[in-house]
Amino acid sequence: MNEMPSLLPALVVLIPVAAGVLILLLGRFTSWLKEALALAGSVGALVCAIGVGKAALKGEVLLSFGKQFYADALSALLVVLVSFIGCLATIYSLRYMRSTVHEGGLPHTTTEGRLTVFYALLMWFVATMLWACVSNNIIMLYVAVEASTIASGLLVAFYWDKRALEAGYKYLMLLTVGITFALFGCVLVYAAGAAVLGGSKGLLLSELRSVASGFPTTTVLLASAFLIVGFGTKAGIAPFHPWLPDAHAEAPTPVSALLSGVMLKVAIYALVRTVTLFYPAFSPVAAFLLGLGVFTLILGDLMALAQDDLKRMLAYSSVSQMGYVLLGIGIGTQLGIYAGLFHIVNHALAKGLLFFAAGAVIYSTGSRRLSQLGGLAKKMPITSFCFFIGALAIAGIPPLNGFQSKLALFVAGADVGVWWAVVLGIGTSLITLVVVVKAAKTIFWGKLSESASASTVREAPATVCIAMVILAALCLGIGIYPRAVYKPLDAARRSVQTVVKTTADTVARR
Amino acid sequence: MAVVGRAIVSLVVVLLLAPLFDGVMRKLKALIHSRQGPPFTQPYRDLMKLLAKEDLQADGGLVFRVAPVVALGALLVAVMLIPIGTRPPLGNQGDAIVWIYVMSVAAVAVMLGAFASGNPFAYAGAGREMMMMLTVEPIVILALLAGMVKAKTLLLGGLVDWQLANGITTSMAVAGVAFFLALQANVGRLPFDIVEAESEIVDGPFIEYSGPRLALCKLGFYVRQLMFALLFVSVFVPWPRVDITALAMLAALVKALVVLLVVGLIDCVMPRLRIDQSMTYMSRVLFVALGAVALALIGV
Amino acid sequence: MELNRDLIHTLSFLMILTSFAAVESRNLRHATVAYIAQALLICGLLAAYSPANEALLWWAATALVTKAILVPVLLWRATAGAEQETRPLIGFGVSAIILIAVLAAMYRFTHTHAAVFISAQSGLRELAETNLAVAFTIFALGLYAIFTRRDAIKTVIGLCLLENGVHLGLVSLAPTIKETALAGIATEVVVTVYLLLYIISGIREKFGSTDTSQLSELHW
Repeated sequence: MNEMPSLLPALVVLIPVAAGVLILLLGRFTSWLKEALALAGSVGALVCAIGVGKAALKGEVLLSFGKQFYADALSALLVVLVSFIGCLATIYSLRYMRSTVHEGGLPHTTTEGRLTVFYALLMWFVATMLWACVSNNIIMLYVAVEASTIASGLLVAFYWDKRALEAGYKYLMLLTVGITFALFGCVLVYAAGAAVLGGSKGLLLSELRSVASGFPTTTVLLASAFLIVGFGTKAGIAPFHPWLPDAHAEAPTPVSALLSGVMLKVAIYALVRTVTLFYPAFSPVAAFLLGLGVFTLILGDLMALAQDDLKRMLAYSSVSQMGYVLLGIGIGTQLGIYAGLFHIVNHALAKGLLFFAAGAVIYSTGSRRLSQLGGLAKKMPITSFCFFIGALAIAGIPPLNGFQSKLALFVAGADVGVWWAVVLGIGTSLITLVVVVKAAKTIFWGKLSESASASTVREAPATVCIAMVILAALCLGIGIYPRAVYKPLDAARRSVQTVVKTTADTVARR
Repeated sequence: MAVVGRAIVSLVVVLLLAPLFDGVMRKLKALIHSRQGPPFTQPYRDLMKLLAKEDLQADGGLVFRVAPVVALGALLVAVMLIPIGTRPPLGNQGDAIVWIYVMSVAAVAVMLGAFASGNPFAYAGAGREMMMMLTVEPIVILALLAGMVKAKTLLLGGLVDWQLANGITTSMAVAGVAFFLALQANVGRLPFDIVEAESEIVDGPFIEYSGPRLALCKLGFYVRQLMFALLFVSVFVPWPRVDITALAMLAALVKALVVLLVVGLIDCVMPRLRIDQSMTYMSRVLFVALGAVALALIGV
Repeated sequence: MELNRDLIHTLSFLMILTSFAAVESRNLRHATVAYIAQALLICGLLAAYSPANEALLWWAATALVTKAILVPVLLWRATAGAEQETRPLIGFGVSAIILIAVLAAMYRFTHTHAAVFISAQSGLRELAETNLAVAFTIFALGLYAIFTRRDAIKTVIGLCLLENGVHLGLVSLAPTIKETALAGIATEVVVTVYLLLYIISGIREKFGSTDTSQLSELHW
């Protein structure tokens, strides 16, 4: 693995930051400037991210600012994913936000003012997530994750009505509390590392990897507990998930797509980066992650079954799918980690698609309650089709991408011998299936509801449809041909340490 | 090459023989009712007749038109995944799980076609299908899981080999019992033909289909019946071991026939259960299946 | 390496008193004053550690600005006109008992298990044990405030306490290393506090009060 200094990781973060600053300064003047700047920012980030990805595939690790930014294959995978979905969310927002913001929002007087704040915050949100993915400094990792919470806090409360304000308050409060736990964990790791490596190196994750196996057990257990609680809260792991349904449901749709689609993944990435430092030597950590993952995936799905609000149902389903990812990481073998990373990619695509489609439905009908929707298949064919693809992907139906990653997860579980987890995972898949079929049926078939907006229901605008169709095509493509993503995923998998085989057997015998 | 050949053979055998097995079951039903009954080849004639009829379509759009095709297609893929006396033609890593998911594709396709048709009887049937799927699939999964735990493999072919090598074991026997108790529901015969309940909801999910599409639905029903019987006999009762492929297939088909005759017998003498009664029954069978898994984990 | 141990011990214990005062004061402005006192104590503590590590003086300076000046200003402006807190779930007496119990438990924990995870030099070890106990206690007090106080602004104060606990822990675990100061400066919560107070002002406008038990628009 050769490490080369490069501007790319720095640019990936700095371009959206600059775009955000420019939007704040210049956005009020013309109506299209902020959208153009936002598009430029997100596309610029995507281009640099692809550059980082290409280098990672060649086996290089890119460094910026000394060793502060460290872009190996795992970072590259997430950076590409975050910037891609960020780009699509920006495209989606172009028409969507302009029409919904008319109805109210932040306490600014003008629509233009509100939109300026929205796009600036959107750019900063994406930038902070990208920063978290390339940061090598354990304290800066915390700062980046906290910064993404701050940037998205106002975005969650954007509509500034009672529900959005409550959601925003809970979001900021619960997440900051959770993240502070993670900070304590990071501090513990730093202190232990600095005692061995000295200050400047003790902060760097790449250096800590080599000495983490020598840490005393209490430190490891305490630090892992704090880190799992902290980053797990941000990733939506049960029982720390209560902020999730409120925030994802009340935020504007492109923000929900980013929250569910990528922010949860960035949090899981932070968790993986820090906790797998301990992997080869301390396997009880992996066993704990496994159990937590199974608990999360069952709880999330059961709660999703009972929801009437479309976006809340999708949010709970995100909780469940993050449980699957944690299951893969907890299994800890090569295939397990590969499956977990694969599921991260697939869920980002599918959940982004589902939120986009849900947003289109809300945009056209003005309603979010499943009981008030119905009969939309004729009027919104593209949206229905895309929602379908997303729903089937989440449920894990072949030939879509969700099936491929879930299959890999179950095979990995069977290899290690955790049959109870495999069965519970398959069983929960059945429940997910019922949830999505029920949702699809309620929204798209049945009678067109008599609400006043029935006559104005039309297909969603072009920018919205483009974003949806791209994601749907990817879901189908990866499902039919999973080999296409094998190389980047495998390279990313190699950046993560695995649990040693013998200790994995101990997990099975329990 | 050999894989493709064996896959085609499996497919053709099941496709061609499925209606025949259903014809035998109809003849049995007739004999029990003390009448002559149709000849064994009657289902073939029914299918031919339906293919020639006009295809009246409900206003359900693409989903309605495509659903029976997808369902049958998924069932045929599932057929290529199961062992018919010998190794399954398409077996590779994790194929037991693939089989479970492919079967759920078939179930989902039926449900979606029913929802798309817009007929309230179809809605009722689809809702019942959902309930049945949620209660019966876990039993199938657990029964197969008991085998997977013992044989330490996810390959259905590997399961068969292990069974042949190790003879009758308690856990597999209990799992087989659980699977058999759920078999009636899986093939949709009395007392569990709740989904299609002719006298209650006309034909359930299939009510709006006619002509060639109805033929596909019926063929799907026959194939599903035969496939579950074949899976049961190949995995849970694979003895005696026959080494010649063709003879092994023949032996499996004969055993499946016996199983289906028993199924048909039960079908003739039982009344239909309500959905809640069926769910209670299935939860008891679930305990049996759980017991099988527990026994397998202990190592019995 | 001339550290005034008595000074550091005194400052630590005073911090517990100020935290308790900040949590328990029914008048929000008095709570803010208690918080200012605690912020000054932390800066004093950092300065007291500085003979061992000069970079800590920089941290003390920034902490002075953010914790002792910016956050209280924001809190003061947010409590303009609404000084009394809504009644919390758990009263004064029970709080005091819980505080003493937690402090005792933390003290025991750090002194018995300290050896495994405090790798400071032996001279600083004993200081570190006491400070860590205090740090954990303040952390617990912050959590306690967030989950049992019904007033939204009091929960924000609880959040600041949480942060102070972590910073105290940071300085006691790695006092002699330069990067500790960097880590401390980078992890200030002032922006989060600003945003939270902004949203709370919106809540006050729409809901009529900052009582969190009224925030029940969103169910499970």
